Amino acid sequence: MSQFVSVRHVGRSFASRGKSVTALSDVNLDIKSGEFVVLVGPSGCGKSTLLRSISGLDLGYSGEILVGGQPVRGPDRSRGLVFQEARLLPWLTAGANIAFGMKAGAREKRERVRELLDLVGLAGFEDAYPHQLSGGMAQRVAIARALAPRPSILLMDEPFGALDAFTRIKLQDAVRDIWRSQGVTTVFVTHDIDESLVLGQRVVIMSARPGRISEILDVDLPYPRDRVSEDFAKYRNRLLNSFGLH
Amino acid sequence: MPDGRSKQDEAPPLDAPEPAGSGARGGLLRAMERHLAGFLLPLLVVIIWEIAARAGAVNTLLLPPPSRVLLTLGQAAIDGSLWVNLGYSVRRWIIGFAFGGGVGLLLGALNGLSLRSENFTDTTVQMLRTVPFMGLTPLLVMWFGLGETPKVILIAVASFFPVYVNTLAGVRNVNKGLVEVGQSFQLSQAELLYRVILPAALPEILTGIRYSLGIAWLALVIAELMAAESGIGFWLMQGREAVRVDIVLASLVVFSVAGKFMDAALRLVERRVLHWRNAFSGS
Repeated sequence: MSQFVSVRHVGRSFASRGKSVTALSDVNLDIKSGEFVVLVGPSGCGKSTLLRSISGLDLGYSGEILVGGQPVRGPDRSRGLVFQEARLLPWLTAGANIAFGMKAGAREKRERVRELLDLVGLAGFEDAYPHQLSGGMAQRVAIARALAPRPSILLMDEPFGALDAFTRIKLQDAVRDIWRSQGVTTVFVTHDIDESLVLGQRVVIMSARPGRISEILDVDLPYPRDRVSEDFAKYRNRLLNSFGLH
Repeated sequence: MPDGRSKQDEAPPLDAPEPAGSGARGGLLRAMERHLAGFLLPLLVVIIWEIAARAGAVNTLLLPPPSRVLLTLGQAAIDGSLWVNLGYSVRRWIIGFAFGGGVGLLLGALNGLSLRSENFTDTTVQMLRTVPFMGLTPLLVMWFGLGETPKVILIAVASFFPVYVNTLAGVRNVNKGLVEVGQSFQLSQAELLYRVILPAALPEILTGIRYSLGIAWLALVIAELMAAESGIGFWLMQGREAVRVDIVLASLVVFSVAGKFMDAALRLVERRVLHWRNAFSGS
């Protein structure tokens, strides 16, 4: 299959108190259509910067990023985004938040919203306001909102970083199931090693100062993955090793 | 979810915390306290005043008893002059506010969105803001005479600033993350403004509007006292010229009751429109 996302020699530096800080340096990455790729690394490794560059929210990079063969020139509805915070519009109901980015008639919107609420396990919460939702539920709505315009790629920036461990595991399973049933290409940023191994077909290991890709790990384990299996532990050890933590 | 496991992850906090009221009796008492406690003190003052006036402890020519003021008010209500004058006053107030508040909203939103626009205009606005609007009355009278124009201008000037300041602050306080959400769906600048920025800034804008309507009401009184052929202020001046303290007091009562009424109405609107807010509401 052809490369859907192609990142070529991408660099990014920020000016900070008169000094230039290199967030990304010569990053190269190819992502196939339908693939689940996880970017993992310590804070400051530039994983979120890379994701924001692919999304088009950050255009200050050097090098080239192609999505579907087209250079990224700005945000696009065909690239769905989920942030660390749910970022729901507090004056809209869950249903209206999900429909926020859709360009469709009222009926089509209503049907799609129902379908997506079902998909993320929140059937019946259409009319709830964000302040009535827990953190995990809000993040489920945010995922549904990103999927609503049927994007060809889903970009998730540490989406579960602010959730408690129990909720996080349930949402990981939810995202895995959504990806498997919808087949949407997914790029997922995290600093959680287990999370990267539960989800990713490929885990892109990044290191800091300057932010670069140090290794790409193919995770050859069937889904759903057993978090306590021996094979899982082997992969975990490999990851910990490559971060010098083992 | 295919496996249905994730349906009951986090307990839904759908039962929003309700403000107290355990038990029917305790609830009723507390509700009465909340609504009526504030009226106790004014009521006491009015009663003492009535007794003092009747007992001859004060000169009723200078301070007629509350019952006399009420009677005057009742007569004006029956012969219709009260409503006619109130109508004129409210009309001025609305027109003045519509101009001043409208411009305040537009300029506040513009300056909130555009740093360049703010750089060019905000200093001027801040300088003008320090001019007490009451000080403008002689100027307005000299320029525009005694008709409707100077009154509406005075009210417009007074209503401009609170809306401007709060709209600007409201737009600047909008969470950048929400704007990014809008951008990620490729909203145009106009869509971003009315689908994200303005709704997000609405709490502050409404505060500005409420504050502005209050100040506009004050400006109305001043405008009508400088010269008028109609309005509650005109009625007040008539009372003063006839040395009818009861009329002066009655018109003051109208001013304050009408002002309070409008503030309450606006609070109600605010609560309706901003029901989605999960803000601290006092304890």
